[in-house]
Amino acid sequence: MSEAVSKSLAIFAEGYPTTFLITVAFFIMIKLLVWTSSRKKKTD
Amino acid sequence: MQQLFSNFAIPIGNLVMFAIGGILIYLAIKKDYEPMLLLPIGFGAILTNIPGSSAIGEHGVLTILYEAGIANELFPALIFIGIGAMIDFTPLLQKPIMFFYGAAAQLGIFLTIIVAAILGFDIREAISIGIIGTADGPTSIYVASRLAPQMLGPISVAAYSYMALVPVVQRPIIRLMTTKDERRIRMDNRTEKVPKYVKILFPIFVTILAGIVAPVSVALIGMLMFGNLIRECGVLNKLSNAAQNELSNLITLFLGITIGSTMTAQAFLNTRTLLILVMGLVAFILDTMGGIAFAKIFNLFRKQKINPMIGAAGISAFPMSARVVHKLGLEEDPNNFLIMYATGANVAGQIGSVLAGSIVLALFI
Repeated sequence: MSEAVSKSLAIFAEGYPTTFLITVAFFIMIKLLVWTSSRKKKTD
Repeated sequence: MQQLFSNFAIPIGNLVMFAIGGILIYLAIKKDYEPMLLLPIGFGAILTNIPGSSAIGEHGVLTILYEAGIANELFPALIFIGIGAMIDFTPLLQKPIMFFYGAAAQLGIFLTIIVAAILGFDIREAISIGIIGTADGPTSIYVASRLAPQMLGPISVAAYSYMALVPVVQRPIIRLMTTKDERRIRMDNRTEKVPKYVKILFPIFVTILAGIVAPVSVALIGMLMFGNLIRECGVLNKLSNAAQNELSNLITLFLGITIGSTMTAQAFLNTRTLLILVMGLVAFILDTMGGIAFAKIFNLFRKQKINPMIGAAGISAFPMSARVVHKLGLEEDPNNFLIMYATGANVAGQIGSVLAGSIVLALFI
């Protein structure tokens, strides 16, 4: 297997899951922001 | 006199490039394919291929523009301020689950890098080709100018052409990968109002989070989110309008004609260009398939199913991709409005594509 192919496989194996992982962080962040806003509404 | 007419001996390669420039201008004007980019690229290609052209070379205006804005990645970064100012992330903030769809549809980037490497491109070139799958012109230009500047011309042409062809490319794949029943899944369009402070905090938090994981993303995500912050803060309407119009238009103008200047006959007329164009299409197809496949797998774990066509809208081609999905939904059921979810996935794709591009760069560098 050429060096380029093995590097491309490594980029896939690391890069695609990392993209997902960061979006999980974004998802949690938005949920938290929306949750705090709904709590704020209730206390108001 | 003899010196003036010496230019009539134009090499055949340059004549072919005139024709290619002409085709791009035709597609821009007649077919309305990304005219803001393809027309300047086409004309830039003609300017560059006139033998002895003063537009290129040491003191050539296009070479100066190239050095000032593309070689140092300034233009793509600046254009992201304009894009950020144009995007309303509200549909994504209302349906944050769409973030996953924006990530899933980046599959084409990673798979195309592998295919390009198998076809014999070196890893720098393979990455630049795979990034066409971001369906995001500025990111493609940013990465290609960093890793494979010699391929900037064909990569840009592929990125912008396929973006214009999203309805043609995506429709058959969506139909092929989904059943009639799946396409008829109705979506609940009830939404809650997103408070202003959430819209303001969103670009700041996204920049910080993405920047911590992949510092190389700050140049692109940071500019995108800066533009969005200007839009959402409510006190910089003049700047927001300037970013959406004057800045965006001016940079697009320079970007297009400067990219055209890289399309010399020697650099463009070879089998690799043809391969790059094909691989770009492959990347778009794999993106669409990845998005739909993810949506179908995700549905296996969900009580309330999500229409899998929405997975196809996770690419960055905004708003074309969301429109395609919405129209297909209406064709199956005139009362099924998918636009809200599809737009959410589409703007998630805008972030996902920049993120994926940056992660690939971070892993390589």
